[in-house]
Amino acid sequence: MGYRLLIVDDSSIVRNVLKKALGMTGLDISNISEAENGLIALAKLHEERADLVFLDINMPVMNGMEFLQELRDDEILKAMPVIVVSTEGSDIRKAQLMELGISALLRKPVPPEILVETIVSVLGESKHDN
Amino acid sequence: MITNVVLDQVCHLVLEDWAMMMVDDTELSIAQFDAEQPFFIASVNYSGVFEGALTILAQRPFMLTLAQNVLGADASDAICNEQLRDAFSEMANVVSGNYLTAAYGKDVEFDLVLPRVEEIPAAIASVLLSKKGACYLADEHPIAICSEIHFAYT
Repeated sequence: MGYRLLIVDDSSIVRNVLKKALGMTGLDISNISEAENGLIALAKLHEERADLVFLDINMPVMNGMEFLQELRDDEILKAMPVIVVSTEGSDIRKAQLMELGISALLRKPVPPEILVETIVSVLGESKHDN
Repeated sequence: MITNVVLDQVCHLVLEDWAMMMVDDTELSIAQFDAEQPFFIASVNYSGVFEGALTILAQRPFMLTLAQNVLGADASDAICNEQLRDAFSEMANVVSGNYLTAAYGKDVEFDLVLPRVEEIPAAIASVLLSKKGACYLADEHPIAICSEIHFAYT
């Protein structure tokens, strides 16, 4: 069974670009879902299984920081791996995100090879060969 | 001005690596824009130790090329207005985030407001062009980028 991924970003352009990039990674991906803010993402995660979340920070309704806080307080979802893809670059914000248990922080624009490297490292290289 | 050098480096990075455009540095006047086309700005306000705004001025042909390149679309693929605005808005977001870190360091935290895209009159476009910033021909489309910043707590 392939990976199930969720992309959370208010920009449809970014979601499309990320989906295309993920399609070219060679990873066994069975499903990519999308959400335009943290609130919709939380609802989706309760409806369908995901192995990894790609998360933007600066979003309307519920931003990435608020989403992460809710996620970590949720008994069912608290262990969910999250890769933040954002323009955020300050050490303070990075420390806050690490404290909220993110697996990696990628700065936009993300080179495709860095994207692959990070996903493989987060999900485990053994599954990459499946 | 140091921040303009940094802004220039970030703009080149974003336009060339992310938007996949050929970029030529230039001096721009309003006459180099297409008089038949409306003007658009994408702006991001930010606050923190400093507060200010980054604004990008462009017209539809630039926004179309940007959206096509970022999406990897062909010239024949239909791109809707929402995608044009979305790509322009995301460009402002990416330039702002990278510029603030490059100019002021990783130990300074900023909060970025969601980017806004608006159509503006030519007279306002002229005012924006008169500000110090970075001007380019990106895939031969004129664009101008300026950042205004000041101390928030003085």
